[in-house]
Amino acid sequence: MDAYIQGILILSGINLMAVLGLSLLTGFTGLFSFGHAGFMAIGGYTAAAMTVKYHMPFIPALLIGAIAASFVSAIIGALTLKLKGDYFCIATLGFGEATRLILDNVQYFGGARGWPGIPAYTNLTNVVIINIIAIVLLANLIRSKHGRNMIAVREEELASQIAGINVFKYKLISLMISAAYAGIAGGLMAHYMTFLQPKMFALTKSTELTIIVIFGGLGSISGSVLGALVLTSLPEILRAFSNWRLVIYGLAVIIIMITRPEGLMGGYEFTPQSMKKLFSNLKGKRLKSSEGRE
Amino acid sequence: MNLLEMKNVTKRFGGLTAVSSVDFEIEKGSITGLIGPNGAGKTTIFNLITGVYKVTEGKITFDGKDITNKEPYMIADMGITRTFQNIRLFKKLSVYENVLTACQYNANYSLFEAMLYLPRCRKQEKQLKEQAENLLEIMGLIDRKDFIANNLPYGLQRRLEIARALSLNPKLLLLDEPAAGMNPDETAQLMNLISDIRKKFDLSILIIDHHMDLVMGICEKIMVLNFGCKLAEGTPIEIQSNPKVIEAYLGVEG
Amino acid sequence: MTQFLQQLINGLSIGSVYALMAVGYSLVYSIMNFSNFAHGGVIMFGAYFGFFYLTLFRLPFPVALIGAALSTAILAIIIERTAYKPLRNRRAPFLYFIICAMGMSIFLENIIIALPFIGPTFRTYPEIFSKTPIKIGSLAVGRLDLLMFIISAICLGLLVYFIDFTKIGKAIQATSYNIKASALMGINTDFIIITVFALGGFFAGIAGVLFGMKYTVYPQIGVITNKSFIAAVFGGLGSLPGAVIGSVLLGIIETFTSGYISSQYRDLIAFVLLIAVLVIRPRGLMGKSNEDKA
Repeated sequence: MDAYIQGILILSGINLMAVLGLSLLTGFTGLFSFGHAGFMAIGGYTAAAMTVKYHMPFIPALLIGAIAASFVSAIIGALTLKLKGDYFCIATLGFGEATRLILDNVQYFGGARGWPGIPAYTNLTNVVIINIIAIVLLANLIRSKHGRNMIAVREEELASQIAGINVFKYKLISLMISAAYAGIAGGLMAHYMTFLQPKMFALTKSTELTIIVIFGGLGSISGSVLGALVLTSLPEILRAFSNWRLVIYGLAVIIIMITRPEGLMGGYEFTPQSMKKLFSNLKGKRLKSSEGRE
Repeated sequence: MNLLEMKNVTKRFGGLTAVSSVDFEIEKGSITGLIGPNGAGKTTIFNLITGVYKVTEGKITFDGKDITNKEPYMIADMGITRTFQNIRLFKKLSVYENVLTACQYNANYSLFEAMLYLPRCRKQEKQLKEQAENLLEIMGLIDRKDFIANNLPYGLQRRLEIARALSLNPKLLLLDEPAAGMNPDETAQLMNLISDIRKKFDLSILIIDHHMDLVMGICEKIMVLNFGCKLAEGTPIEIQSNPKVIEAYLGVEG
Repeated sequence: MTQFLQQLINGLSIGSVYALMAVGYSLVYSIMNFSNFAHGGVIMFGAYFGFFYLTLFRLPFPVALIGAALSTAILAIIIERTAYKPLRNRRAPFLYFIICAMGMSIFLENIIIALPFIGPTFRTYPEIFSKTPIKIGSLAVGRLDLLMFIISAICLGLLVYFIDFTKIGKAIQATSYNIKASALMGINTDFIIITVFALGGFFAGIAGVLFGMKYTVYPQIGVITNKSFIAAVFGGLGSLPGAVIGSVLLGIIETFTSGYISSQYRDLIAFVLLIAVLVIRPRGLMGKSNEDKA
């Protein structure tokens, strides 16, 4: 395959991994994070430390990165998820920026100048396999009682409590899984770029991920997949308009929120059943319209 | 035997006393009514029992266990569930999903089992689905299974909220103005439904409502609240002839 | 001792400008219960308005300052009308407001970068005030720092007067307490929301000009608003006195950090403080807890 296309696919896959996690948090649990770039950073730096400094194999290194990110998210969640209002949101914003600033000063990881020489373990095959596993696990979770509880929390907190759902616990679980996914995405990125720099995990990275989730549709895994593929490759193709890219992004977000907040997929999923239903609906419509003509 | 006991329960919001040293019991298997003028503190009592508000003073015990100031979800787990005056459904979910979500209480597979879709998860999910459909059948909602909750007619939304509450197999069900906005026909249907539920699910019920024919018709015991204090307690006949109650509701003559 | 006083004065000066930003954010939060992340974009526009009024139109400084503030007030109203009003009409969940605000923030920042006659370059304000500090005993107070403090203090004083002693101000207080009840009592809540955005925008414009003079003007200058979000959490979300006290304290702590420890940690300390507040007193200094009415 063309190396250029392969590169775009790998980047899409890395973004997708982080987006899947954020989709669980924002799309299914209704929490908004400005700090997912921070979780990616923790996952990325930890995984790179494991492979570079401890010569660990790739997959265990990724998992340790995920655990580290998840652990930090648990601390932030424990502090803020019980509070009402935007505390969680602002705390994640603070966390994301603080992570970047701290890494700027950690000379062990190269500080602000960056950290070159990370082995290039990430390739299209392992990115695709990891994403497929991640999607299957996430889809299973969403279909289970645990996933339904998260959706209930998103819909109506008080009613969830009354239905015996521990709202705090489910917010925390959602955040921890979400951060673990972001951590793996960070690890994949480190071993694809072979270079890490705190700048790569700035606030814009977090917002980019959120935009993909919204664009794809809150509460839809298929939407996230579609969103990650389109929004990662589109800017690559439209390089010439790079300055206007983010202007259009911003406008698109506003317009989506005002006119079609459900995003591209809007809670719908591509499954064999849903496709069947869609086709039978289309057929039904065609029949009806032909009847009308007679 | 008493299922629920409130001892000397007081709730203050800053300087405002919403409920003032109320003593109250609910007998197992009974239907009890809670009435009183607007602002008497009826819904506050529901919020105290279900842990939505924290009790300022006093003690609430349920089934012999202290539930004062426990988290709402814990109280729900112990077997108290409720409906809301201003219906709180999972609006954007379907009728079926609303009930299925609340059935979660009856499954105990772990997060790990869920993500890997292991046999125990599959088995329990199947049971939950049967249970949810069964409940919808009993509540007469099965033919609207795939409707979005928010698009249901008002009366059916109330019914769905009761169905959702029943998915937890509660021992005590609190209904906050279940007949609000219903016509006499619908109210009569609701009365039948409530009596049915008690028999089928073997539970106790506490009702707040302003429809006197409903409250007087199905409650075995009634408590009257006024300005946060207990004004009277007794059988419907006792309450109807109680001069203090008549005064609170109609004002003093002359 | 001299150094201590010197740092204190610098801290007060920076902190008072943070306060100008934080009150705008807090006002909106107290009425509409969502974090208006587009506030940073408005501040950045203020800095540019001021810059162009001074350089292109050669307006005198006071005129340019007020002009910039009025321009951003109008900008804030336009933002409210186009991005938030449709959501309010639809009674959209608060998550959509935050997302929309974020989209607006991305749009504002990048439209400046994309516009060919502005672009991403850094611009320096013309030197209006001489750089030689004023000597008070052994203290040397920068003229600009003094000006920042005086202007901010006047603005905040006017705001307090407006909120506490005018009819509209009282209506704002009532609306922040309970928007539905206020509407029922005959308060035109739509007008109140416009007023609040205009006020926030006005102060954001002044803060933007002051920051533009202190540092330089560039498209990402709005990031400084993150400090005011943190200051608002520090003081208690939605509380105006809290926002002011939180901001001033944050300003002082920051200057002390850069003065006594290292300027590298100046930005980090804000985030450390955020975490500390969330651990010790999550409601913030002046925040109140209120139980949800079921």
